[in-house]
Amino acid sequence: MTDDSTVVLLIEDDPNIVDLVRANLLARGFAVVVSRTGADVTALVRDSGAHLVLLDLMLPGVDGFDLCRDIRAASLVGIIVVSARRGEQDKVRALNLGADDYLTKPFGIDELLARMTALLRRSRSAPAAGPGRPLVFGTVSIDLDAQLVTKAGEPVHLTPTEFALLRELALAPGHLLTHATLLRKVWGPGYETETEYTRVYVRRLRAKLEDEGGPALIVTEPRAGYRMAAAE
Amino acid sequence: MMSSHGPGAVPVLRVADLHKAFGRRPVLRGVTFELHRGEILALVGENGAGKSTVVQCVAGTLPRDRGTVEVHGRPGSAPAPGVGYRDIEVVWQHLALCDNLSVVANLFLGDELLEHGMLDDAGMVEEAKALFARLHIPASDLRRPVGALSGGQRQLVAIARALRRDPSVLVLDEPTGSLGAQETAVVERLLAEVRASGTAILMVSHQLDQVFGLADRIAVLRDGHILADVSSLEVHPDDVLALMSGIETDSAARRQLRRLRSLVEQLADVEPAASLPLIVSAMAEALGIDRLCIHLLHPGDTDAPPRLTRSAALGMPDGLLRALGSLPADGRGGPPGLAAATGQAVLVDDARLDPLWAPFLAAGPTQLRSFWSVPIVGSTGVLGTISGYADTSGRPQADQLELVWLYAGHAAAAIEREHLLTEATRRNRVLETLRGVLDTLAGPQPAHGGLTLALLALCRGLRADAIALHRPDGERSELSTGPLGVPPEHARSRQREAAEAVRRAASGDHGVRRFGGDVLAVPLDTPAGRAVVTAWWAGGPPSDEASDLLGDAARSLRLAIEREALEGARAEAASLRRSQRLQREFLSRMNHELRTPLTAIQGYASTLRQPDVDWDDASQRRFLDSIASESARMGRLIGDLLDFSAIDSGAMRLAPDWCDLALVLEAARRCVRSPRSLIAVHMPADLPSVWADHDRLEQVFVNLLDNAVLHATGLTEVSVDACHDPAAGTITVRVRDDGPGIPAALGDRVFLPHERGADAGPGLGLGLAIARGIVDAHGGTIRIDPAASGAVMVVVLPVEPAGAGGTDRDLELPVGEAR
Repeated sequence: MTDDSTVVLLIEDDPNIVDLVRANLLARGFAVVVSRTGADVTALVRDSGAHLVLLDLMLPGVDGFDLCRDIRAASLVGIIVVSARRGEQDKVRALNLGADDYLTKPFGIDELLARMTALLRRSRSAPAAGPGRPLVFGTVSIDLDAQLVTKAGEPVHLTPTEFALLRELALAPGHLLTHATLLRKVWGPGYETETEYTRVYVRRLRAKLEDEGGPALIVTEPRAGYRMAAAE
Repeated sequence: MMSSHGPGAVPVLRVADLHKAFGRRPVLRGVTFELHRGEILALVGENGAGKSTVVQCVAGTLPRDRGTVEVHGRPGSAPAPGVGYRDIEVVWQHLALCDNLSVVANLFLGDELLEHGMLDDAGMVEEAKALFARLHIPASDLRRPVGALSGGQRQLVAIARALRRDPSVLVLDEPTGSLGAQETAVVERLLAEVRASGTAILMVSHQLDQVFGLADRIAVLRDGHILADVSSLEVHPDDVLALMSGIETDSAARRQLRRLRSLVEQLADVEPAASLPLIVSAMAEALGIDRLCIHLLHPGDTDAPPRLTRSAALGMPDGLLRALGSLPADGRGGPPGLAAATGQAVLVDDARLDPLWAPFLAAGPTQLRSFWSVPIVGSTGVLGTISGYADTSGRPQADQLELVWLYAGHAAAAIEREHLLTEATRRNRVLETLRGVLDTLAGPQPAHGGLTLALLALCRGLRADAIALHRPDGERSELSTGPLGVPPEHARSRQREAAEAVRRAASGDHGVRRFGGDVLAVPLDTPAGRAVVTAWWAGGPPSDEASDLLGDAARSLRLAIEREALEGARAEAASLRRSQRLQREFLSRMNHELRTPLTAIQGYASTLRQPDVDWDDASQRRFLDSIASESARMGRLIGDLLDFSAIDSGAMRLAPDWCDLALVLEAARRCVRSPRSLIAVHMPADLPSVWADHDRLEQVFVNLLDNAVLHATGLTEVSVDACHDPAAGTITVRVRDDGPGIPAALGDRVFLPHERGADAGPGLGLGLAIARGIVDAHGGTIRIDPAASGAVMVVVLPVEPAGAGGTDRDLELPVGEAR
């Protein structure tokens, strides 16, 4: 393990699943920190320097949704929720509370690794060849190179997933981007039908960037996708 | 929240510094509040807080001593004194409708439309129809007499009449005080519409649930002030109750207690004679005398001389009580008789020294030596006597005698109060009391069993000897004021016949009916069907007034029955919700419990197939071991589910044989993986074999031991003891741990499927349900020892199968506990 290895915080109470995930991640050069209870989760995220959190929703005596919200309130770290609940409601709820991705049990190790890689790619993405200067949409300014977003001059904190989605939209102002396109480009191949992801994340972006009653920054094309309002 | 007024808007109604006193008793001492457009303000307070006085002062029908009432910023003006202000319409609690006039006539009463000096009947009907349409009140027949309408319909007519003149302020005095639950809902809907149209509403009510459903703000009136003016969204009903009563309602139990006490007080109010025993006991306390007796004087007539009859008494032996039961009101009646005859106190230091008292002593109180008697003198003369008795000689001190006279005065006041109550006022008091009882019952938290109290109060009020409530479902509550509580059989059959007759009668007939000379019956039409109240008199026909009272009470009783049905439905719905929640939680837990091992199995398998990592031998072995153990875990879970569904459906079969409990327990102990706790098994050597299914019993004890180990502290061992009771033919096994124990609140419910303690470990929570199912199937019992510290599970098994000796027949399981 080197100092610059990627740290994964695993919050899971079942010893066999801990062993399984840890063995696989260690074998691929990740550093793994395990919490079996989820206690003091925000301090744990901060102190471990985690790049990514794997969170089991069903821990004894703790509501996993609460943990998800607490982590998101304190950090922009990537969160993959792991849960036995397959209902759409649970998925949307976890995404709303700040999760980047939602994996249902049982899962294969390939799938877990693929999802982790996609999420880490978003958080580490080398700045794509941008226009070289900030893009301006009304009061919102997006500097793709510096990964900096401001609204009326004030910096806005976006999670890696939120930023990746905003970048795709901002690079094609005025153009319709379908759900499938956005899902493939932001989350990765295989996500094309998970339209709850785009719905929840566009809602999160709007909440952070648009003014209530003000002009729309991101326009919904019903049943098709989204388009960014034309740049000024 | 609903009021749309800005901070500077002029209120529709402003009442400021309202003062009102009746005689020297101040009722309102500075009442101030505002009412805005489209707002409902509820004025609440306990009985006697002054709510009605506020309404009358605001309406202008009662002159106020001080303060102002402004409508739209202008002083309220009345066309004539006592008539009431324009722009403020009041719907009084007692509606003030004319029963024999039609709906239309009532709407226009005193304000009839005229055309060429003639009543414009057609015009009035048209306008009434338009009014009802505007208010969304279904108008069936506007020419029906109001007396033929239900309570809710009458209320709607009264409100419509008030709204006909488009008042700025509508005042409602107990708008749904005497309505059933369904009629209440209709009136509430109308009020919500009236508010939406912009009219400001002042509602006086004691029904907190209604207040919280309708009002935007709640003003609490106590001691003549507005104590609080709060938004109904921001306070809890309990807080409002506390404000109304001035008593901190910190617990449901205390509230209940207070409500029951008030019921008892109301019942005592029906019988003012109850104050005499109080006087006697107070006097015994004050004088330090422990044998006291009050006699009441019954004036004689030409046929019978006046006599004294014993009323309240204290500390008297039975023999003496009998001897003093009835005395002639003259010298033959001993000291009480003499005191009553002369109006003077009689003091006897030692009765044996005076032959005057010999006949009195010979009649009963032989061992008595000294006594005294003081007349109770009221405004009309002697009413009775108070006497004290002792078996030693002596007499009361002068200051003691002074006190006796004082108490005699109190007694006179109490007796006169009773005598002065004519039948009419008595009936009113009974009605008031009855209404009070029913109001208390209909309060936010009904006192359980209160309907019985109300019936008993009614029975006393009617002076009937038995009363019965015949419910639509055939169930009967039969009560008697006699000492037995259950009326005699012939009375019950008379009442049953009357109830059947009333039930068969036309549904439009709501009146009290008389059956023979001894039974009255009145129908109560409730949503569940027709109930009947019957009353029976042992001695002769009931008075006309009893019939009136029964008719008056019927409406209140109907309300109480509806209320009771509503409560029952609520409780049922709550229990259903609880059971559905438990099932949902169980499914969610089962999903998690099954998917977790599946995830491990699938994950390890896919790990071993990864092309990019070469796992060393130790890792490979570990992964394979985990796959095996997780598969076994899944197998156990699925086994539990199958067992439980077999128990639940009654499909499980046992394969019993003679088995040795020591072997069963040893096998179970080996199955429990105990990281911390030692398990100590203590078995007497001479324990007989039991007729049981070895594997199933092992399963029971594995479950119990797993639980015990999970909850034990690890400081002391988990112990298993068995003992044989040859007399009962049973073996009792106790499994004890030193953990926190089963929460008392959970109790026996731990044996129900889906129930789990808050600190339950992993698993489906079926273990104890399965254990109970298996033990039940063996004809045994399983329970928690509630007195024990830690948790102690007690399993009692019969040594031999119930009934015949052991053959290899199957035992059939009873149907599961859960259903």
